Amino acid sequence: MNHRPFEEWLLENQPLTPEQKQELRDHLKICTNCTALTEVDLALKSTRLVAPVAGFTDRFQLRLAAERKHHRTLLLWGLSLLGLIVILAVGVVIFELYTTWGNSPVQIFVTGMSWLVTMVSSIRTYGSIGLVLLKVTARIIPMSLWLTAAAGCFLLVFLWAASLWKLSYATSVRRLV
Amino acid sequence: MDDEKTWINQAQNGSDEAFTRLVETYQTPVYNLCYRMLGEPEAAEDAAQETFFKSYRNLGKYDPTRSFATWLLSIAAHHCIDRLRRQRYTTFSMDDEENTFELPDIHAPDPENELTRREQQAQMQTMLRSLDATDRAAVVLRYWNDCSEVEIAQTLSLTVPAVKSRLHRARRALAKLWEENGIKTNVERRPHESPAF
Repeated sequence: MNHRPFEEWLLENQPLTPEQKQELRDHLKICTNCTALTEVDLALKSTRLVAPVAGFTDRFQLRLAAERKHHRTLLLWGLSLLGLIVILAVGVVIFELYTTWGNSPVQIFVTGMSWLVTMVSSIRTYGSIGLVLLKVTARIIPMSLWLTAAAGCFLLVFLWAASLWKLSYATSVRRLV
Repeated sequence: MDDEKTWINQAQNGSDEAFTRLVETYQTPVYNLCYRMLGEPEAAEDAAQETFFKSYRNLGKYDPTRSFATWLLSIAAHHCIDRLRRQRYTTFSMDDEENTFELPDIHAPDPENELTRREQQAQMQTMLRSLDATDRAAVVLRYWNDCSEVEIAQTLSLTVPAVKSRLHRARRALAKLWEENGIKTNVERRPHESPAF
């Protein structure tokens, strides 16, 4: 007896004619594979839904409240940091104005501009120094060493990211359990 | 159904009470999916909570023309599949079955067979472990959540032929294990289910 159509009937759960049903019954008496397939199907259909432990909704609300609190705390920290930066910036401006207090507007403008020029030229100088150092070291250090250093840096970054991810996952699991 | 649409609409407009009603309605199917996928009550609770939390955060992205249950189960299934892939392996314990609460069934089998039935349930749970995460999700959605192949395809972001193929493969694999383990059937067909033959 050919096994294939019977297996297909069982897998597809097709509606069968009375003759086909009888053929299948006869086949099941001799085919252990199809019998197992039928029994698994019945076993799966007889299993019940598993419900969570009572109070699931309350636990969800608690978690939601905790997440909101965490979000608020993060927002507060962010705003505090931003406020601190603004206060520092304003403080620097006030200090500059205080040191030039009583001077004419032209002098205040000149002081401000010289401060700005000093800042810009400092950044450009440091940039130039960095470039020169890079060119010099590039000639001294062989390419293989550069590649090794780059690979090492990449590996460190990867390990750092992986450990952060693991840590955050473990923390979230621990917090919930 | 109309209630559900109202709750979704209210929840999308920021009503926590409406969302709580949705959690109450879907906690069992979502938890059951997570439990059958992950095999541990604690992990299932965590995954089910995470599912509702994700759905709460992304409620604005929900398309009301789609089934809410499918959308929710899709979040749960993908979360569990990701989790299983991260873990690479899962640890199932027969004792875990005792820490869960099965819904009382009005068509429950004879109490004398309850122990055998529970053993079979535990064996079934152990057998599910052998399946690939996506195949397992397809089986759980088909048999426990009564989803059609189209709904499973939508839930798991697969095509309908792919779902069919996965279900067939999974059922063959389970039957092979069933045969190898020599499990004797002692199951009762639920009255609303028509036999295949």
